[in-house]
Amino acid sequence: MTAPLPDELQALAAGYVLGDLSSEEMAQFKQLLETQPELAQTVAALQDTLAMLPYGLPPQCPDRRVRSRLLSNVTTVSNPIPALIPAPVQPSVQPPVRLSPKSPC
Amino acid sequence: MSSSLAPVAHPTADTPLVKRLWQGDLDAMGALYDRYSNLVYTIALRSLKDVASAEDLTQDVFLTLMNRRTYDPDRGSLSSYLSLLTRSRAIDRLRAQTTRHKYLHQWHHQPHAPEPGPMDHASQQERHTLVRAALDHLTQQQRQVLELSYYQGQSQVEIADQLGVPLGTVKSWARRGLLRLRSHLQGPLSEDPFSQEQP
Repeated sequence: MTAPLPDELQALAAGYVLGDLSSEEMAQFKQLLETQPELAQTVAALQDTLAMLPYGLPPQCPDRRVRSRLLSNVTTVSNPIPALIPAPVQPSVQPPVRLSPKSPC
Repeated sequence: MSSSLAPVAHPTADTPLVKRLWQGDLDAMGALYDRYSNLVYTIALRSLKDVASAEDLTQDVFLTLMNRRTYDPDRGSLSSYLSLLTRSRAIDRLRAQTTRHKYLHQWHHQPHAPEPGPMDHASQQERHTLVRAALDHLTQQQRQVLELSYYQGQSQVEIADQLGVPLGTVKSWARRGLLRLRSHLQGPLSEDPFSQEQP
């Protein structure tokens, strides 16, 4: 049976994940980690929690030109050596660029 | 106009797409970008507070995904990888900009094999809703301290200085905030981890 971790231990685990333990607390916590395996699970859960933080932000959409720029950069980077066979010329007619691009998201 | 950080349903899983990208399939880049650019850009903009820099960082993150090939699906989801990468690159840029140039606040993030938990089954939209709801349970100070650390990479000493409160108070807000966030994320998500197996 695993008793719930006492508050003090939880706070230490949170401090560990947040990187704010003092050197004494860190030494204490590392020792506790060795003797209490369930503490590692708490640490992992708190790390996952922290990684969820960005999902709380109001979503923002990058402008469509970022996508075009990225894809054209990727094309350039992935073909660093000139091909022996000339690459087909890109069609000069590009899709119309919207002045107020519709948000992609 | 509700929008989410990433689409709700993914017809193709992330890992095959990443593998295709590494094989030089540029369509895969487009698909991954469409899937995660909102997440990456949202973090970039929140950290850097500048559209041009956030756009540049967004591109940088996807190029890194392609060129560095450090994403390992066994160690976590692609969204976590991209979030962490974006955050650390953003903080690098903030540090380069600032003359304060303090040491980077060390977060102890040790990648671990992801446990198949309820969060993995939650859609991106559900994640968004749940995290926002969970954040509402934090005090304004708890949330502020977590966000300053996470997005600006500020140390707690810097935050204490900025807010004019003792360091111990900042630590306490951050720790309690994180614990409270976990308890409110754990509740709704751990209710029914095996719901897919129900008849």
